[in-house]
Amino acid sequence: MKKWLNELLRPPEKPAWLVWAIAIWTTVLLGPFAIFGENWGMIFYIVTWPFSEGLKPLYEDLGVALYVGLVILTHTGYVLFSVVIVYNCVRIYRVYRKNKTDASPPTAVAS
Amino acid sequence: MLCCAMFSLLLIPSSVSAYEEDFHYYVVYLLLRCKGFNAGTSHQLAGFSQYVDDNRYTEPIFRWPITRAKFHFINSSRGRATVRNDADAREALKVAFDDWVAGDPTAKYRAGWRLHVFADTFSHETFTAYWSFKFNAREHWSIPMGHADTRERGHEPDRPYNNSTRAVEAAKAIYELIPDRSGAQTPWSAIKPDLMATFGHPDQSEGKKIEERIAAIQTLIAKRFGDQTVYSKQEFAKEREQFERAVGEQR
Repeated sequence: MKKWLNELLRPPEKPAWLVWAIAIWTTVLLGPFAIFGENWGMIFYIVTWPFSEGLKPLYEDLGVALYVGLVILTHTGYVLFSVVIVYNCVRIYRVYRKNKTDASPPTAVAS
Repeated sequence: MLCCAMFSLLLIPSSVSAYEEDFHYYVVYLLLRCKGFNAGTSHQLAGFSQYVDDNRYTEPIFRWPITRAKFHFINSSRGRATVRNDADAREALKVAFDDWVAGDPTAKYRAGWRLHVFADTFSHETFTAYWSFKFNAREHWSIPMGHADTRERGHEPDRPYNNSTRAVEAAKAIYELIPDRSGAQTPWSAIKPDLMATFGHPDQSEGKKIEERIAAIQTLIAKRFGDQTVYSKQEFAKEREQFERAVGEQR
């Protein structure tokens, strides 16, 4: 069980693409603020729900900028976590398939 | 791009509004004083009217459209826009004032909310809180939600100088709904020219800062009543939980 969990949560060997994923997702969430200003907040709230809702109690005390920053941080973390899980699931499945194929008896004997 | 986006965080204003603070607090304060309310009560009611834009759960931006409609675009839906002088908003405001007069201690929160949403029926008329090209598209530069797609980075309807006649009509409608109190009354005919002059002042050009607009109304209040009133978000946030409970329990 522990081994499976380790496999599932294992960071990728080449983490460069994860950095790209962080950069892209942060830009997707934050970039439109540069164009639409605070109006983007209406879409931002919906896209990042339930994190935007969960952190809403801090909105008044932190101010808008910190609130948005915190939501982005948690949401990006969540997205990365999901990406890593999916990536590892695919990897584990491929290894399982490969092992199963290798272990299969030959189906035909060469004459 | 990422750096630009990060930098844009710094540009997000710390508060967002419907009609802005100059109207929701200072004009409402003036109107309450004109109807004979004392300075303390006027400050409380007008303060909670403005606090709707500042409270974490009632502010208009980081919310689902249904909540935005409840506090800023009353009776709007995907297929219906907000209507000026909305009958339900009028009735709700009357009820809130009746409760307040009857001595309900939580009525000041609801009266503030109802004052806010009623004023917004004027500034938000023809808009809906929901995503709608049909109702909300104007300048075609921003998202069609609320009045985001208007001039002045989506703030055009909120600023009284863009439609001073409508702002004066909103003030008159509020004035007529506020019940008379025992203090000295100021007739509408006496304050209308002052408001018209303040909203439509030649200096009220695009981008005029909120501080300057507030100063103009403060001068009006000081001239007529001698009050030096100031809205402070922190002051009303002290009653945040009571406010949220009072407005959250209502439909």
